Amino acid sequence: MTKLPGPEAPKAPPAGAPPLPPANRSRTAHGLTRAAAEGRFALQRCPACARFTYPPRDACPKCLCPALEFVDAPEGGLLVSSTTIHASVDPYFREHLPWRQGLVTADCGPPIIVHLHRDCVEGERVRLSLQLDKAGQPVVFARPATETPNMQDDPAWQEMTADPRSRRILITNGRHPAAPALARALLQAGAASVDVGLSDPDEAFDGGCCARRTTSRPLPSISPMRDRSPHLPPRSARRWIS
Amino acid sequence: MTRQPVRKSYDGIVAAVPVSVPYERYSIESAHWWIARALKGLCEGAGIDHRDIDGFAMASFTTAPDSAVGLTQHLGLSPRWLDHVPMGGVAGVVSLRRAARAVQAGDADIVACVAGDTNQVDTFRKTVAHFSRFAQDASYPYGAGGANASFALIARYYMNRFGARREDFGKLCVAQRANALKNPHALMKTPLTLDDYMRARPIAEPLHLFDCVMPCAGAEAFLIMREETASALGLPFARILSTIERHHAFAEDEVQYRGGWARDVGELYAMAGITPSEIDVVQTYDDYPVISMMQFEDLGFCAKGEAPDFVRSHSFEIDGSFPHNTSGGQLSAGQAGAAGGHLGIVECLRQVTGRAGPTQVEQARIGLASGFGMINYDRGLSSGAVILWGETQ
Repeated sequence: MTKLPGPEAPKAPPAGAPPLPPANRSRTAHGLTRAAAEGRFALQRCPACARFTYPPRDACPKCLCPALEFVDAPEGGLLVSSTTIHASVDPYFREHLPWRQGLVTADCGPPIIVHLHRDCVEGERVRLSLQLDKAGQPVVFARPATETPNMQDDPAWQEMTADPRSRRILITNGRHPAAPALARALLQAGAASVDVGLSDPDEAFDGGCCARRTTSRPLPSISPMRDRSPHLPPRSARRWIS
Repeated sequence: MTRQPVRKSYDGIVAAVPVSVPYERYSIESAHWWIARALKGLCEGAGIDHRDIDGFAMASFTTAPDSAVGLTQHLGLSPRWLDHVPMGGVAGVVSLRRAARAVQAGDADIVACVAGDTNQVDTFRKTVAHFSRFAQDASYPYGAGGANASFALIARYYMNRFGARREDFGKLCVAQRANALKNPHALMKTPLTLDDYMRARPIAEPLHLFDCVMPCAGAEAFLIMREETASALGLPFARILSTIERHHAFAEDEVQYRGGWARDVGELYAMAGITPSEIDVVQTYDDYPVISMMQFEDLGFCAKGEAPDFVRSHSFEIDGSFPHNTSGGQLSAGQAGAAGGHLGIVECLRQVTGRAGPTQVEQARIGLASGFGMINYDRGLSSGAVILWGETQ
């Protein structure tokens, strides 16, 4: 039995690397990537009839104008339906189940399938944003329109943001002049721990000065960090626990 | 643009030789192999050589890189009329419609309408991941729940809006399982109770395990020809009373709660010259029970929003008050890819010609089979239906 040539399988991540979300996108969809990287919520709008459209497409469904532009769009919407996914065909999502998905009618018109914050309720308003997921691809995320307690702790939201709170963080180049200040800022922002990599561990390193100032505990223990990847510069590293 | 007030009838054009190639959960064979077996079944059933088939309408998700053209050389066909119908669950109705018109116009004499798919270990994930551009860009990366997640959104909305309960979906699933137990080819072989249904694990809430079809390998097929051809070959046949087809209807609905049938249902019955109450047996496209309920409404068996009550007041077994998906449907017979859209037509053809054997509905003469397909993004885009009439045998 010869293998049927089918659609190309996604490229496998390097051995041992955690799986990433699905990364295939059309060329047009990368208009969202730019907006997401700039922290803007943008959708395509037709320059001829001013209608917003989504998903990304190559002509306006109302007037067939072929020159749709990505422009900033209203962030509000109504959650019209939702589901919690317990079975997925994708390895990344299988590791993150259950996963909430919603269908939002955006204030500017189109229906948008979204990653859904756990506090969102059907029939209520949501705030839409474009995020870059772990694969670096743009995705639409819907949060409650008004602040809820511990809103930042939503597991799906944490997958798509870089909030240092409760995270373990590695600063690969501990010799960089900004490293101590960066470590201090991350600890102040709630990081669980900050690992600092040193390429020349035999030389003195006074990075502790920054950690001492950010913790009320005695000088944190220092221990070598396991070097997990040949691509990372540090041959050893030291850790400050806040 | 003006439309013909009345479409030309399908007078003199018939469907014959229902063929089902028994399904398998997984197969190492190719779609080509499954389609070949269906063609062989058609030829044996009709008593013809496959070179006598001069029209070929093929539906499949898994023949890549071949289209229907490649299949002609692969299988030794030399048709003068060829169609590749990549329309999933509506491919059966669309194939039948096109084939009937081709035969009516004299472009072909015998058209084989075949759908077949294989199901190898990773086939399903590939189909889901590459289903459409909108799916790739805007639904698959949101949990990769596939059709289950999309229909969960539709089912949740339908439940909220029209008061349907899981028990209503369950009643349809339980009845179809009872029907499937009489169909020796159905993949599901064990009885299902409403308790089993309610206790099943969640897949994409509100959908649970028994709301979802089982992807499998298999093929379904039938022939379209002139009535005189069928008579000359000594074949039982069914007349085509009417058909409808629609794509991307009701774009303005915020969530899909009706399909294109609702737009064309008047024409369906007007062309057939009957009312819904004259239908003896119904085969809906049951990728999920909520879609069957939508079809009860959109195909005129009850009003919009009344399917929950309709389900509560009817029984759907072969000997029930509303015989429905008598082979077990996709939910209990299995979903062999694109063949899911042919399954209902093939079973309908058996029913109205009195040849359904253990699943036969008594006195079934007029049957309706519908198709639905292609969740391109947030909703199923394609709908179709056909009414077949078998003469008293």
